[in-house]
Order: sequence, then C-alpha cells, then structure tokens
Amino acid sequence: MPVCRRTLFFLLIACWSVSAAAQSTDPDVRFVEAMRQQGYYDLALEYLDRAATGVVSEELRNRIAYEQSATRLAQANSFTDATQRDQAVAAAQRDFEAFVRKTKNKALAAEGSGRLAAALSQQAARLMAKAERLTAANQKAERSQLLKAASAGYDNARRLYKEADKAYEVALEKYKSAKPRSPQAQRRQVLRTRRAVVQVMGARSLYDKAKTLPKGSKRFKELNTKAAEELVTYADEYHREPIGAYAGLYEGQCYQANGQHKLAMGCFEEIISQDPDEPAFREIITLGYTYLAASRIVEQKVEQAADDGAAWLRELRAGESPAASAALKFQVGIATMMLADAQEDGDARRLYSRAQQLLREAGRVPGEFQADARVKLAELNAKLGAEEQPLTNFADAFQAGKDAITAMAVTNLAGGKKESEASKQAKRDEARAAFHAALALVDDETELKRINEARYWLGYLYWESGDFLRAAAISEFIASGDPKDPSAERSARLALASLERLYNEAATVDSGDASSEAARLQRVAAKVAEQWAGDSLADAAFSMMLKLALRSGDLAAARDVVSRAPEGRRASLELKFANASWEQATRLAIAAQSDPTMRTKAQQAKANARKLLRQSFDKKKPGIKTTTAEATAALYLSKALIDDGKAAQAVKLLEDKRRGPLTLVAKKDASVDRPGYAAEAYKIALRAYVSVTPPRTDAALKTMDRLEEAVGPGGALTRVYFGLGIQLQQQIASLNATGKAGEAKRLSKAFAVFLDRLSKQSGDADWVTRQWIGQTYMTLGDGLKDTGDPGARRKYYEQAAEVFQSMIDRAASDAAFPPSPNSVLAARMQLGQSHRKNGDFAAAIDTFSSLLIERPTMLDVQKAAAYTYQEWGADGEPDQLQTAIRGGRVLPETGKNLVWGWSKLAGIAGRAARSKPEYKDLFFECWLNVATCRTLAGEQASGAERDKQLASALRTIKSVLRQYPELGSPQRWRQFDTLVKRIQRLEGDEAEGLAAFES
Amino acid sequence: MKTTIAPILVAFALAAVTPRSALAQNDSVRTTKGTEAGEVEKMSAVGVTLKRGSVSKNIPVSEIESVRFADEPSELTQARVNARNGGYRTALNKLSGVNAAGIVNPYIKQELAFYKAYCQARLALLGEEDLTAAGRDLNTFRQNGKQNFHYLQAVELLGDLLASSGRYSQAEKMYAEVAKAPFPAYKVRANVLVGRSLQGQDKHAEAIQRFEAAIRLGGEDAEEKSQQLEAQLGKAVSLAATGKIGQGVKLVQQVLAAADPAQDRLLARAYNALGACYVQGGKSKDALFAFLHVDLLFANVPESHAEALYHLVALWQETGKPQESKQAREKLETRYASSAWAKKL
Repeated sequence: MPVCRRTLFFLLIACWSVSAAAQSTDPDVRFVEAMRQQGYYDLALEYLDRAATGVVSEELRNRIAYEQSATRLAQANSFTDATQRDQAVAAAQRDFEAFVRKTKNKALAAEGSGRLAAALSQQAARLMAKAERLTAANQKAERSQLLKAASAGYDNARRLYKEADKAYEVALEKYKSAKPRSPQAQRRQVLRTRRAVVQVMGARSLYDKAKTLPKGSKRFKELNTKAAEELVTYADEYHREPIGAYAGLYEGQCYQANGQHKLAMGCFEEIISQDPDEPAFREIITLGYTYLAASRIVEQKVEQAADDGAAWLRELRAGESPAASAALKFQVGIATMMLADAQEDGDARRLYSRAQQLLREAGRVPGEFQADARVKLAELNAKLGAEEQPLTNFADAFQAGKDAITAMAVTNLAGGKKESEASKQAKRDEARAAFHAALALVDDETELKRINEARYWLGYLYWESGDFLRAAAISEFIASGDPKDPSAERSARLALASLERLYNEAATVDSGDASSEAARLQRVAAKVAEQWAGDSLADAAFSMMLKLALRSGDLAAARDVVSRAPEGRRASLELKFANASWEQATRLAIAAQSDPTMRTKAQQAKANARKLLRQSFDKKKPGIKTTTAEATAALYLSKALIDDGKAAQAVKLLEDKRRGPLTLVAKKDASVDRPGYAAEAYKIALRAYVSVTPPRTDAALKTMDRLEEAVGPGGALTRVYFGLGIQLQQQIASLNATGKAGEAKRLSKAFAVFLDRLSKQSGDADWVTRQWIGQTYMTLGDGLKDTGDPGARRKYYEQAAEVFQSMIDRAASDAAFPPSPNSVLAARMQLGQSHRKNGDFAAAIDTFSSLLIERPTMLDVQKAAAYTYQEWGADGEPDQLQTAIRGGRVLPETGKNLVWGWSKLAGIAGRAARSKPEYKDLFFECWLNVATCRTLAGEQASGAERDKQLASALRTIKSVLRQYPELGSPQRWRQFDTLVKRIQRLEGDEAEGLAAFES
Repeated sequence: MKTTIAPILVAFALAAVTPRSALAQNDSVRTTKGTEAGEVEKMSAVGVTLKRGSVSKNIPVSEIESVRFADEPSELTQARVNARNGGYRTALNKLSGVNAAGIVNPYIKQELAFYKAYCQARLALLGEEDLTAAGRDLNTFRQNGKQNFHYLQAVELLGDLLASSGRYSQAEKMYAEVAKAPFPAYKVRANVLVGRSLQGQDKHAEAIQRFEAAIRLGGEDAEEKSQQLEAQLGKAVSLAATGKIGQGVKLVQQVLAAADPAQDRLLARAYNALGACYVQGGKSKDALFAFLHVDLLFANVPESHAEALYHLVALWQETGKPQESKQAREKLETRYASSAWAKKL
C-alpha cells in the first residue's frame, strides 16, 4: 500500500499557504497571496511594483520586499524545466535569505524563514521523487546522491523552521499583555498560529527526512519516532485549531511509516471526529479518512475502510477539496476492490464496478495517488476484460492515451520479460490509437497547447517503437512553433534525439552517406540553440552541433560552434572540444610512429590539446554532478601530466575528491559508467604511482588489484600490462635521453614492481609478451651496471632467465606456442645471455653449447659463447681466457671444439667478409677480443707470464694494424687505441695508444 | 440589522473554532461582540431576549449576526453557514431535507421559512430563480414574521427584489420601513438603499444627495460607520458615472482604507466600484487588479463576483491574456449562468 511512498507535499504547502492567507486580514496582502496561489506571478510582481507608489494598504506597503521575494520563490518553483527551476530557486532563495537577514521586523523575518524552509522541503521532495524514478542497478550511485541531497535539504528546512519559531517567540513578547479582543490580541493570535505552523512543519521535516533512508532501518525508525514525539506535543497544544489536526495527521503518518498501524489509526480517528460543519476542518477530515483507510487495509479491516470512507465521500460537496477527496477515493477504491475479490459473482461485479468508478475519479485529479489510481484501474480493467468505450471527445481520448502510457511505465518497472514486452507493446499501440483519435476529435474549443501535448506524446510513442522518422517529423513540427508552448521544449529534445538516431543509422549503413541527415540535424539544433538560448536545451543543441563537427573531423567547425555558445554556458562545450582535440592528437601520434614526417605536426597537436584540456578543465567549475566530458577530460589530463613528467600533479588529479577519475570509479559515478573507463583510469594511475617521487609502490599494487578486477584475468589483462610496460619503458628511455638518469633509475625500480606483477600474470601471455618481459628484465639488469648493487642486478637476470626458461619449456610441450622454430632458438640464446649476465658462466656455456650442437655455425651464438668464456676468465678464472681465444667444449665424436673461440671466429669472419662486408666488423671485434683476453690474462698473472701475455696482446694488435691501418671503423680504432693505452699503462709505459706504433 | 448587512468572517477562523459540545445544550446568539448562550425567551423585529439562568438579556438586532437553536435540525445549521458563504443553492438543498412538520419550536419554523425565502430571493437577484415567486415567499415571511428578528432583513431584501424588477417606488417604500427602526444605523442604511435605487434609475445627482445625507447622519457607532462607508461607496459610483472619475477613485480608496477587513460584501462592492472607475478612465490594468481582488478574495459574494467576472472577461483579453479571459467567461457562465452579468456577455 503506497501510503508513505511519496511526499504528500500538497498538504504541507496547503497548510502553510492556508495559514498564511488566513492569518492576514488585509485584503491587499491576501490578494498578493491569492495571485501567487493562482500562478499569476508576473501579475503579482507588477502589482507589487505599483504598490510601491500606488494606493495600497499600509500593511502591504511594509511587506513589499518580502512579498516580492516570496513571489519570485514561488515562481521559481513553478518552472517545469528542472535545470531552469533549480537555478531560479537558488537565486530566489539567496534573494529571500538576504531579505531575512536584512529586515528588522522579527515577525516578517520569521515568516520569511518559514517560507524558505517550505521551499527547501519542496526542493528536497522533488529530489526524492527523482531518486524514486532511478531503479536500475547502474543508477544506484546517482540515486544515493539524490537521497543524500534531499536529506540535507530537509535538515536545512528544519533549521529554518526552528529559526522561524524563535523569531516568532521574540515577536510575540510584545503582545504578552494584550487585552482580549483588542487588535493586539488579534495580532498575537495571528503570530501564534504562524508559529504553530512552523513548529509542526519543523517536526514533519524529520518524517520527510526519514523517507530518504532505507525503509525500516534503525535510523528511519528513530527519525519517525522523534517526529511523532514532537508532533504529538503540537497536536495537544493546538488541538482546537486546524494546525493541531495537521500535527495529529502527520503524527499518524509517522506511526504508519514505522508499521505501527494501531497507533496511527488512533491519530486518524481523532481527526475524523472533528466538527464536520467547521469548514476549516473538512479537508483534514477527508485526509484523516484517507490515511485511516490505508491503515485499516493493512490491519485487514477492509470493509470498515471501504464503508467509512464511502460514507464521508457522500458527505463531501461537489468539488470540495478535490485533491484530498481523490486521495480518499483511491483508498476506498482499493478497499472496495479487495472486498470484491472476496465476493461471489453478483456482488463482486457490483463492487468491482464501484471500485472502477472510484479509481477512475481518483485518477483524474493530479495528486499523490493519481498515477497509482490509473495503474490500478488499468489492472482492474484488464482483469475484468472491460470493453473499450468508444472515444467521443478530445479530452477522453487524450486521457486514454495518457493512461496507456502510465501503464507502459509500470510494465517497464516490472522488468524485461517477454510477457512484459508484449504487454508494453500492446499499451503502446493503445496509447498511439488514443492520441490519433484525440487529434481527430479536435474541435474549436480544444486548446492548442493540449493539441500539441497530444502530438508530442504521439511523437514519443513513435520514438519508443523505433520509428524515428515519424518521431522527428512530429516533434520538429511542434518545436518549430511557439517556443512558449508547454510541449515545445520537450518536443525539441525529442526532435534532436530522433534526428541523431536517423543520422547514426544513415552513417552506419553501407554507403555511409549521412550528409542530408547531418544537415537536418544541424539545422534543427541551430534553431533550438537560438530559440532556447541560455537554457539547458540550448546547451544540448550546441552539444549536438559540436558532436556533428567533431564526427566529421572538422575541428575548425567545432571551434566555431563553441565560440557561438553564450560565454556563461560554454565551459562544458569547451571541455568536449578539448577532449576531441586530445583524441585527435593521440591518433596523429600513433600515425607519426610509422610516418616520421608527421612527427612535428603530432607534437604540436598534442601540445595544443594539452593546453586546451588544462584551460577548459580548470574553467569548468565542479557541479553537483560530474559530467561524462569532465570525467574524460580528467583522465586525459592525468595522462598528459604524466607525459609531461608531472606525475605528482597527475596523482593529485586522479585522486581529486570531486572529479578525480579514481574517485569517480570508486563511487561508481554515472559519469564513468562506460566500458573501459575504470581500466583506463587504473592504467594511468599505475603509471602515475610508479613515476612519482618517491614512487608509491603500495598504491601501485592496490591499483593493480583493482585493474585486474576491472579487466578480469586472461589475455586482456596481460595486453593491458604489456601496453603499460611499453609506455613505462618509453618513459624511462625518454628520461635517460634528456639526461635525467636519476629519475630514470628511480622509475626503473618502481617499474620492476610492475614487471613482477606482469610476470605473474604471464601464464596467459603470448610468446611476444613473455619475450618482452624477459628482455625488459634484462634491460633493467643492464641498467644497474656499475651501480654497486650487484644483488639487484642478479635478481633481474635470474627473473629474465626464469621467463625464457618457461618459454622454452612451454614450447617443448606445445609446438603451436612459439611463432616459429627460430623463435625458440632465440629464446634459448636469450636464456644463455641471462645466465651469462648473471655470472652463471657454466650454465651459459651449457645453453650455448646445446644450441651449437644443433646449429654449430650460428655466429651470434659462437660470439656469445666466446664472450662468456672471456667474462668467466675475467672473473678470476684466467684459464677460461685461453678457451675464449682458442675455443672449448670438445666434441668427443669429432675431437673439435664446439665453441670456436675468438681466433677461429676471426678467421671465419675474415673469409666471409670477402663476399659479405657485413662480417667485416665481426672480424675486427674478434681480434680486439683476442687482444683483450691476453691483456686480461696479463693483468691476472705476474712476472714473466704477465710480460708475455701483455706483449702477445700488443703483437696481435700491431699485426692487425699493419694489415688494416684503419681497424675497420673509427669506433673499432678507438677501442683498439683504448686497449693499447691500457697495456702501455700496465707495462709502465706512457699511454700513447696506437700513436706509439706510427713510428 | 447586523444579520442583514454585516458580513461575517467565515474564512477558516483558524484561531476561533469553538468545540460544538460546548454549545450543545443552549441556544446561542452570535453577535458582533461574541457569542451569547442561553435560551431564546422572546423575539421581536428589533431584538432577541436571551435567558440565562434567572437573568434575561435583550440583544438588539443591530448586533445580531445569527441565532442558533439548540434543537434545530443539523441541516438548518449547515444551510445557515452555506447561505452566509453565498452557497444559496446548497442551502436550499439542505433545507429541503428538513421535515418541517416535525418541528415544534415556532422560532425554528420561522428560521426555516426565512432562510428558504432569503436564499430564493438571493438566487432571484442573480437571475437563477423567479423574481415573483421569490418575492411572494419573502412577502409571506414579512407578513407572518413581524415579531422575528429577521423582519427588517426580509423587508430590505424585498425592496431589493422590487428594485431589480424595476419597481423602484415600491422598493423605496420598503426601505422607508427599514428607516423606521429605532436604531440610527438603520436610518443611514435606508438612505443608502434609496440612493442605490436612484442609481438604478440613472438619477445620479439625486443618488449623491441621498448618499451625502447618509454620510451626514452617521455617528460614531460601528454599524453607523459601516453604513457611512456604504454611502461613500455609492457616492463614488455615482461620481464616476457622472464623469468625476478621479473623485470617485479617491472616495473608493478611502472606503477601502477604512473598511473592516471582515466586511466581505462591502469590500467586494468597493473593489468592483474601483474597477468600474478605472474602466471608465481607460486604465485597464488598474481595473483588472481591482476586479481580480473580487474574483480571488470575494467569490463568496456571488452578486459581486459575477460582476467582477463579467469585467474580467474583457480586461484579461485587453491585457493580452486570452486564456485567462476564457477561464473567466467559463466561470461566469458556469456559476452564474442565469445572472444578468452572464446574459450581458
């Protein structure tokens, strides 16, 4: 039973307005209030302007500023467009608050605070209603945000009610000793009543606030209990007055919310026992019966609910309290329907018919139960198989269409089952037929705004069924008419949406020519932007034009659209433009990788985009809701900051409490509810955390956990890590290239943490990725050369070896894993290198040897093996130096060395170089290493052996120099020269280098 | 006289709702000063004698707003409230449900007869009942109720019926009878009524003389002052009708400033008079505001409300609000279909 589901807000407003109107006896003051209630806001403001100089009562003259503020506030609340309304209400509230602060009239200040509080409650109620409509799982965050805002609104309202209460208390002081029946006594009564209203409303705010919490939760119950406690005090204190009865009614509602229906019924029964002849009590008695019926239904006293409610309905005069009587009709209708369910045929039919009539009447009056009444009626009609009545006039046909749309909405909420879809389709057809009928029944008396409303709904129904062409035609027609028509704005929105769909469809068909659709969309959007300038609709139109320009890749046209938007509303467009610019710059950068001529252009584009992003992001002030464009810009900007080496700033932005991508993702904000955003945010955050000084390793690890959660295990995650790794590697290279070796080293260290994680993931990785991981470990190890941290260096090489070994093992069991047989050879080669670099020379030689057994002429392997012996020798095993020169690992079957050594390798290279010049350098490299090995042997020896080795080294060099004075290349020449100087120093000679041999 | 001319504040009275049980055992007389409870002992055209214990108190008719009898049928109580609120048709419907034969108290019988005649007459003035039939019933009451406190009210209303059917001289005879009442306020009132009758005949110069006489006659008594305001208002209308619009407006504004906010009928007439002055002066917006006061605040004064709606139909149109004009027309044609104002459209 939807007793407390929505705020019965008309009650609150009615209570406040009725009291305020009744309290002032001055006709001019009452006149202004009456104009407000009728919605004649402009007229009221004009009257107040004239009142400043014209002949009006003194009371009104003293209240002009107050009444103007109150009128503007009421007018703001009447706007149908939510954005326009929110802005106007905020401005009117500020205006009103300023008035309340400024006025010295305590009573007027109190009245102002009370009105403001009522406006805040109304705003909160709207937020609640909006939250109630958000039922989908992905709207949870937005819903919770709205409920939070509504709760804060009710808190503010309560605070203002309390302030008003205090101000009335002060204002009442001077009437303490007023004589009975004197004007002062009347004034005291007026103020006392006003005070009672704000007290009751203040207490009611707790009940309203409770509705922002989960029903039945501890806090929900506490708030309702507290509200009931306060309300019962006022119900007692003002029991002779209508406001006391309202207090009792709200008290009952609190009990009802907490499921304490017996207590609630006590309250409502007290209300219905008020004097029915007293006009001021009649409406509240009607409401008393309404809520009493609801509780009685819950308590299984259905017959009593139906009978008593029906009896009071008979007491009501025609047209009396329409909203309250409609609410009662709904409850009595429900009770009657329940009674019918329990009856036999004849009686049941009569009761069902009565219920139908009640629900039909309840559904005609706007109010708390209108929608429910229509839905219940539709259900009942369906149940009874009610025959369709022919539609004979516009109003009935229109209403039938609206009823069918309401039923569609209910079906939507029911879920996406097949039956629901069929039922929805049936209702859609029914609604469309009804609106068609309505338009055919238009006569001279039918107002244009009603005709347009019917047309709008028809357009909407076409949209719903995917007929965007018709939807666009109808809505464009309405939108191009009078912009003040109540249906014009929503029709314009529908037109834009429909035309966009048509454009999208045209763009995706084979030919892809959507130019005519784009032109039409452009034309309508331009008109809408002009027609509703300054409105959120115009913003949407500008957005659409921008989208069109960007889709066509025309950044100049896009910039033009942005510049045409009003200055004050340009921020979000600028942001979208900046995002598009960044995306285009990124595409250019990718293209520039394969086309160096584009590099400069790409760099320029990126610099411009970065600047635009920064400016537009800073310009767009954070609002209550973060937009998709803001969220995207925050992401791009974070990336740009890292690229610029501003990792700390990137981290700050990523973690920003309002617009930070990580924050938005964590709270599942609607602005980031799209595929890939979370993963991208984590990727960028990962880069930022490892790049920042000092690196935030813990944060990086946590981010990896989240990234894995977002991407899921498997190849996709590895690809993400791989891409990241490449970016980090490029970043390290870039730092090294710009002389920031320290930073590069620090980044490498942090990078390793990331690499370890990637390595763990590599079980699912493909060959290339694993190879990259292994190589990257090697690179990291190489990077630590000469850093005095051999332990860390060894660790990297060990990890590299592990990766290569795992690749080789996997290839052995899964022939399809390596891209080619040569890939396995390369991996074995890299495994050998890993061992070698790790100082595990024996294992390296084993690995190289196993390769050479299969392919003895692999020169790279021969060279690597020779180097291994050489390094082994340098590492305190001088005998291995000789092996490096002469070769090792004798094959028993041939008696020849499997590893050739530098000497044989030099000979083979020399011969090969005759026909293949690319071997020339290898030839010199081999002789350089022969000399190096001898030098190393000399260094480790002493006495004659030392002299012998050093002399031998010099001889070798002289011999090569004689034959090849240029030593192959300037680079090799410098290497030989350096070596000679080293020998000369060892021999105690002057280190002249090769120059010593010139003579 | 108060029962005839003093408007009664009925709107909500938030602070003054008296529990029904407190009055259940007694007759009660609601006066301009409060409520007196007791037993209606005697009644005459000029007052009611209320007995409380051993003490009897005479309450002059000029102070009486209504009398409620302890044993009266609830339909009568409701009808009285409806009639005061301008709900004459509703009141008649309620009264038709009363079993008159079962009523023993002669005062209640007379009360029932009066309200039936009163409501019919009021509806006749709005064009919704036959003037002759209404006049006949009211005249019957006049003849049978010479000792009833409603007598003078009935005489005045009969005069109004006669005036509205163009029988001005007979109407003025009725008003002359009102003037015979032993209260100065009634003499002032009679001059006002005659002045209005002269206005109906477009004899504005003579009407102004009558109104000025009423103003001169008025003393310090609250009721006399109230009648003076009615006279001022009548004078203002005649001044405007003779082209002295500025003077007319000024006079109406004085009335508005001096009137008791509870005097709905006076205020409704005043705003209509102000609106009429502005219409003649070609000030459409000012006229609209004046008539709108009546539409929004004094719809419980049907004869004035109908007049205001009639003017609003044109004024809304003139001020660029055709939709509001249409609504005013619908309201006039729905609520006051038979009124002279609806027929003038």
